[in-house]
Amino acid sequence: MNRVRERERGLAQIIYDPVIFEDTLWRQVDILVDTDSEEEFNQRTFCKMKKLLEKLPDPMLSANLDIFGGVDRYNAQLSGRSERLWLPYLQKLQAVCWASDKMLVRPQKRDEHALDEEFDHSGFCIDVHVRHAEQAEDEHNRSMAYSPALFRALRGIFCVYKPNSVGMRGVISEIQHILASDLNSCKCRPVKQRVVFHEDDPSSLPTVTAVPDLSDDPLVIGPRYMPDDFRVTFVDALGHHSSGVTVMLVNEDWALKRIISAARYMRTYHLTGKMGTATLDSTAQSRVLRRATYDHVSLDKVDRILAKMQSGHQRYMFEAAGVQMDSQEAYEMAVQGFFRPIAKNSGQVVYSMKCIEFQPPFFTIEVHCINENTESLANLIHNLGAQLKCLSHCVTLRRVRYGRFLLGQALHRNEWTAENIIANIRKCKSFITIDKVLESPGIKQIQQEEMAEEQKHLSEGNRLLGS
Amino acid sequence: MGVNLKDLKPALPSQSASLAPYVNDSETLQQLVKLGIDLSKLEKEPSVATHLALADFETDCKPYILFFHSVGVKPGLIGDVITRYPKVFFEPIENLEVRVNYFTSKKFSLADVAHIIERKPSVMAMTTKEIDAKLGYLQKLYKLNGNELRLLVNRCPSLIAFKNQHVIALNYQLSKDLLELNESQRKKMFLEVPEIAFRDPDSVQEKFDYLTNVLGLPAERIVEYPLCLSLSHQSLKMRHKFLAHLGRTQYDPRLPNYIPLGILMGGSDKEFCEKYVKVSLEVYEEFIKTL
Repeated sequence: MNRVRERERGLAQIIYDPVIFEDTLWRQVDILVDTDSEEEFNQRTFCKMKKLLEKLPDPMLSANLDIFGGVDRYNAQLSGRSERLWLPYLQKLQAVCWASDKMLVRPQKRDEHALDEEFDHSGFCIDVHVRHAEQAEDEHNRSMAYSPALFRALRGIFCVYKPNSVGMRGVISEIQHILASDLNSCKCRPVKQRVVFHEDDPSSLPTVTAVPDLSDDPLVIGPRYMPDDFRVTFVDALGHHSSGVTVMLVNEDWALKRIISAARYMRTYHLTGKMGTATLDSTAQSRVLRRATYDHVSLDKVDRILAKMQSGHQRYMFEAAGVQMDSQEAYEMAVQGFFRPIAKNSGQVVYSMKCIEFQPPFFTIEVHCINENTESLANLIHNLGAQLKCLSHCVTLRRVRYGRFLLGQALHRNEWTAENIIANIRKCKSFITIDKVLESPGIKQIQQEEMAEEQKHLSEGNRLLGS
Repeated sequence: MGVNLKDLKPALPSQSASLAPYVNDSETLQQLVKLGIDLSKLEKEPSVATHLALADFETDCKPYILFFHSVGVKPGLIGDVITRYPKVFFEPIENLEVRVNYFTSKKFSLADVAHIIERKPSVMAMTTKEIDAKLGYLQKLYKLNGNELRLLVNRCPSLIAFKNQHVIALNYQLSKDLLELNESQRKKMFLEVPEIAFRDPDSVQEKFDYLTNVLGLPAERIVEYPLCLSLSHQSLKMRHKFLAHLGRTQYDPRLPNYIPLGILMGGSDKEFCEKYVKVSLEVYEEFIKTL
C-alpha cells in the first residue's frame, strides 16, 4: 500500500503542468484539499496555505479558503485575471501540499467521490480545475514564437523513434542541441534595462534614465538557452543497435520516469532473426561462433516452436504476478484476461509470440512482453534457433509500441524540432493521467475505450453527413 | 550633499569567471560588444579576457580593427574574425602586416587575403615561414602551378591552418589506391572539393566502400561528384534503403528513372520524394520508422 501511495504522490506532484497559458483571461481555480486524518498535521498545513493565500499581492486576484464538508477537507478558490500572478502561489501551495492531476485533460471524469475512492486518507491532494481551457490553448498557439513561452511549453513527455546505431546518450544530446538552437533562433527575452543617474548640474536633482544592461547581452553572457538547460531523459532505454518507440521526458520531474516505468506498459517488438549462424551475444555485431544448415526449417515449424515456447512463458506469467497457479486468485486474474508482473525485477514476461514474416534465412517475430531488455530479447531468438535446430541470431530489434505510445505518434529523427516536440508533448499528455498510469487496465477496458472512440467518430461522421 | 550617486554602487569583483560584471564599466568591452565580438566565447581564453578587461580601446584594440578594415575584411565580419581568433590582440600589428605582405608577394590579391581571413582567421597566427612551408607542401603534393595553388587556398583556407600533414598525404594516397585515378584527375578532384584532404582517412575509405559495394557505383561516378566522399552519409543510407525497398535503385545516368547522387546526399526529403521518387513524403516517413 505504501508503495502505491508513493507512486500516487509522486505522480500528483508532477503531472500538474500549470504553465501552459498566457494571461489576460479571467480564470478561476478551485482547490480541493483532501487531507491527512492526523489533526496536527492538518492544522499546520491549513495555516500555511491560508497564510500564503492571504498574502496575494494583486487586486486582480482574490482568494478564499474555508473548511468545507467536514473536518478533514478544505475547499479553496482562487480567481484572477492573470494566471501568471497566481501561478507562483499555486506552486508554493504545491510545495506545501501534494497536488494532483490537472482537469484540463478529462474534466468530466473526475469528481469528489472518485477522489474519495482513489486516495486513502493517509495522504492528501489538491485538485486544480482550470477553466476556459480552450481559449487558453488558442492564446498559447499565438504566443508560440516567443522563446520563453516555448521553453515553458517544453515540459512533459514526448515520444520519439530512436534510430538505429545511435545510443540513448546520443539521442539525448542531439535533442538538447536541437532545442537550444531552435529556441535561440526564435525571439528571445530582450536585454534588461539598468538605471543610470546623471548628476551633471550639482544645483538640481539628478536625472534618471534607463539604458540597456550590457552585462545581460547574449554576446556577453552567452546564448539565452544552452543544451544543458533542457533536462532530457528517457523511459526504458533501447540498446545501441536497436530502434523504435522511446518515451522521453523534457524538463519534467524525473520521478515521472520511474512512475511510467513502474506502470509496466506492454511493449511490442519486431525481432528479425537470421538462421544459420550463432554469435557470441546473439546479435549481428559480435563474433560468429557456429554455423548450421537451415533448409529443414519451415514457417509451420517456427509457429509450432513459438507456441511451445509461449506456453512455457504463460506459466511464468502467474509466477511473476505473485500468485500460485492452482489458486482461486490465479483463476480470477486469468478471467480478467491480462495481468502484469508485480515488480520490475521479476524477469521477462512474454505474453505472445507470432511469426509475421518468413523469408529464409530471415524471419521476423512479433513479441508482446513486459520487463524485457535488449539482451533477453536477443536471447529469445537464440533459443528459438536452438529449438529449430538451425541456430540463429538477432539482426534487427525494433520496438513498435510502448503501452499507449504507438509508432504513429513517435517523431523520427528528421522531425526533431522544438515545434514538433511541443506538439507531441500535448498529444502525449493524455497518456499519463493517473487512471492510465496507476491502474492496470485489462484488455477488455482498452477494447471498450477503443470502441467508444470509434462510436464517437462514427456519430460525428453521421452528424456531418446529415448536415 | 557631498555624496555622488554614481559612487553608490558595489565594487567590481577582483576575480571573475566571466567578463559580464565589468562590461557596464569598461569602455573597451562596450566597444567590442558593439562590434559584434562574442565575449562569452572570448573569455574561454583567460589571458585574452584579462588583457581586454584592463586594455584601453583606443591604443590596444582600435589598431587591430583598423588593420582588418584596411585589408578589406567586411565590417560586419570583423567581430566574427576576432571572436574566432582572440589572440590577435597579443600579436604586434607589424607581424600581421608582414603576413599580409607575404600573401600579396605570392600574387594573392588583397581581396583574396580578406577572404582567407574571413574564412579562417587563425591563418594570421602562423608565421610567414610556416605559411610558406605549408603552401610549398601543398604545391609539391598536388603538383600545382601558381594559379592552381591560389585557387585551392582560396577555396579552402583551412587547408593552410590544418596541422596534420600526414592526413593530407594519406587522403591523397587513398584517392590513388581506391579510385585508381591518374595525376590530373586527382588534381581536379582535390581542387574541386579540397575538404576531402582533411577528413579522417578511415571515414573516407568507409564512405568509398559503401558507395562502391552497396550502391554499386563505378569510380567514374564518384569522381563526377567528389562531395560524396566528404559529406555525411546519414541521409544517403536512409534514402538508398528506401529506394531499395521500392526497387528503384537506378544510379546509371544512361538509363531511365536515374536518381543522381547529389539528390541522395543533399536536398530536402520533400524534394527527393516528390521530384525524383514520385511518392509522397508520408510514405518515406513511414518507411524511416521501419529501419
